[in-house]
Amino acid sequence: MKKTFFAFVVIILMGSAAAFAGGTSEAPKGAVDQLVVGVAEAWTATDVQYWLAVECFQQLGLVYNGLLDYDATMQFVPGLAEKWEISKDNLVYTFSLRKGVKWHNGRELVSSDVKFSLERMLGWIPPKKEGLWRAMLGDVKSVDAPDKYTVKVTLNKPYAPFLHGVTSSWNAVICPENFTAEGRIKDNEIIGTGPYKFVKLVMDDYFKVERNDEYFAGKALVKTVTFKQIPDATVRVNALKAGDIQLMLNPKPEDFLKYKESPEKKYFLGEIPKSTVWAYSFNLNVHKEPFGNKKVRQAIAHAIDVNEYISIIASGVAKESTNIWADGNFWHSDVPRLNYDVTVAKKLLAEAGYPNGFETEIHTVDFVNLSKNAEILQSQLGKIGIKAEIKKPDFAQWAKEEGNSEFIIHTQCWNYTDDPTQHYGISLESGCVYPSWYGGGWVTPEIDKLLAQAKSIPDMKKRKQLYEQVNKILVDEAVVIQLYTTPALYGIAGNLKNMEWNVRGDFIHSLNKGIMSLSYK
Amino acid sequence: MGRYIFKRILSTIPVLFLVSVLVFLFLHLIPGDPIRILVGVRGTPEQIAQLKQQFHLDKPLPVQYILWIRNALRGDLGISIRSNVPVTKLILSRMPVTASLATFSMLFALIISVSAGVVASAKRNTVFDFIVMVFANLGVSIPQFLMGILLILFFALTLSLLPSIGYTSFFESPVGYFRYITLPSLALGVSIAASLTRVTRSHMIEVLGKDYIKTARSKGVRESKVIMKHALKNALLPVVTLAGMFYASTLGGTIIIEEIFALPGIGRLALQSISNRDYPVVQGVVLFVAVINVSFNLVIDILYRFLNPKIELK
Repeated sequence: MKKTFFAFVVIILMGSAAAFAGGTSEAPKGAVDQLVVGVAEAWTATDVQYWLAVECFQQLGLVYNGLLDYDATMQFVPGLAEKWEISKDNLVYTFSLRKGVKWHNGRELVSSDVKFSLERMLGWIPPKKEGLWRAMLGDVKSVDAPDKYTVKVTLNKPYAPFLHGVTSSWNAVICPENFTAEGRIKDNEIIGTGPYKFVKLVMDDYFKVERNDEYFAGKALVKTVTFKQIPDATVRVNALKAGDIQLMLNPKPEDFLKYKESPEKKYFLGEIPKSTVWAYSFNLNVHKEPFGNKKVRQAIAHAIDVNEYISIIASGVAKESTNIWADGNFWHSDVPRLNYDVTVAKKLLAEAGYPNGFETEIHTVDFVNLSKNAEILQSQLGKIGIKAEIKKPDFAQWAKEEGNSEFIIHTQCWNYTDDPTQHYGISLESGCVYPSWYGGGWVTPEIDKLLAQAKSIPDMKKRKQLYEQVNKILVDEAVVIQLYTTPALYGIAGNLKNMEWNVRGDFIHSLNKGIMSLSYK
Repeated sequence: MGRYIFKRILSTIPVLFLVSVLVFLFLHLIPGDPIRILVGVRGTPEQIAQLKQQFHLDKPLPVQYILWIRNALRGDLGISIRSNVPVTKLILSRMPVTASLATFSMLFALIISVSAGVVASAKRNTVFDFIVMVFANLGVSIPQFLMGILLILFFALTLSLLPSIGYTSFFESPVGYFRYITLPSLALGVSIAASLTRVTRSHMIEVLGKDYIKTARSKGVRESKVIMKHALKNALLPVVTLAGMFYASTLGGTIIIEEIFALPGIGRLALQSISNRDYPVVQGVVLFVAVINVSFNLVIDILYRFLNPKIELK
């Protein structure tokens, strides 16, 4: 009886081992059949024109195209439009579409599709709700489709970022058949023109796409891509090490340092050069005392030692910056910060009438590095006599209080942005959509003038100079004190090659271009 | 008997009513705004107002409750604020994952605990008994997340035998299904097995000391028959009760295990919905879990009544 039992157990164990061992096999050479990418963020919706988490845009970037595209040096190159012209008065943009581009449902892309797409973003057609990035299009007068392959957009006044607006991943061209008469996206259907076709989305689990063999710019090398949601960064790294995923985004900096690029290994973690994922800052509410006083704000800026944040929180894997773009990005400017000097900070506080400091609150949340930034700020403010209490509601409450400017010192972060208008245009300009970002609704005529000017000049270099001036004022006013930017980190299986990252630092764009060109070593 | 079952079903109604009121109240008492999360930091006041109206969040709380409970009684748990998908559909889509996890972890736990508990009680105060108890105490003490990580390190990273994360449906790939569900089921099953082993052992020891067991032994009945037929049958009643309770609570979702193994189950749905203040989903999940627990208790009570007709409803 005993022998029979043991024989049974041995057979079961051997059988299980044989069945389970099927998961590990020798890597095939050449083209990648299936790529599984580990991502952190959950899907919030499927409509590309409304609120989506950043990683959802990354994934949808494989399904959609913009009218134009960027090259690695931020120059515009053809996308769905093969040519474009700008009228002399910078008011009329005429796009000539590529002929023969097919939607994933087989129909040819025509100018009325682009018209539909732009008008929906502008809120002119059902659901008659402006898209999230509508501001990127400027003051549009009309969108016309004079013939099958021509789209003409007329503006009421010149708007320099317009071309960025139609190039950005956030403003992809969408297919009219994909939406109901009420303007809602249909369930389980995402139709684009991109290199990959939508296969399946299981909320909070995975998003799967397969190669579009008729893609106008040439077939991608990877056949299917599955984005698997794995919220925990350590679990994602473990899954990469175990071979369950071949690519992962956003590992912890400490894991990045531990498994830094080492091609002979089965896996390695890398950094996308010159990239920005998050830009961290402190936002001082000028409507709450004593932050209406510029000397108090400057005192706080002088009390901040940015190196502490970079070394303690980001394990050194971050870059100091006084703006939201990392060094190396086109829009980055080297405006020096108010230097770290406790003596100067104390002197300024005394001049402002607070020789013994004061009590205040830091508003933060357990999201990315925000609460850790708050803890270091608390200790640094203590050195100049400011007693700061940390207020840490959960995310939902934090978002609500942030929206209503219910904060004194606010810890904040900003995702990578293609064009400065995307940032300043919705957070700093007079009458902007969301006025609480800078100082709980702080505007100055000087900055307003500079921003208006920067929006109307097509020349990128001249625009950059104007934004640099804005940046100088912002550093001096110390309403928002920028700290550091974190780069895009990734992990990849050691048997993959050709992950070519785009140097301009757009994580979404880089990831998509990189995925398309992946192959086995 | 019919009267007993009827009375017992009636007694579940106030429980479910109370659960529905409490979850609704507590959820709305927690600060936070689901619409603000949905529209993000760039949402306009008009968008916020429109969405609040769409989800009835602009109405007074009692009205919101009545609307929700009225629809819930018809089987409609509402629409998720975050994903715009019906809550019932969301729960049903997650159920196979959680049910698989609960079932396999319970199967594993029962096989291990009943065999180890029975042998340990039969060989009481021997080295084997000591080892079983040490492992049982370890199993109870080691947190589930640690057990999960240890299993991943050993089976996925060191041996490359099983995947560390993920899930696939049985109908898509039967082998894949078992490969994915094994490690999380083991991680969850170890702690359940540890508790059940201790209960099995103690009740077996108690039963083995009873007079009818002594009588059986004195009559010359084989020891294996005494244990399996006479003792185990009677000692299993509390084990089955406890196992049923474990099973019901696991069916309600196991957040930590589902997070570690990236399983799209009920626990993860609940966690994400709470942090997003997705009221309809949280309410729906809690009500669903309550119904499962109440139903399991009802079934167990009815089974008890079958097994022991002396039990009365008081």
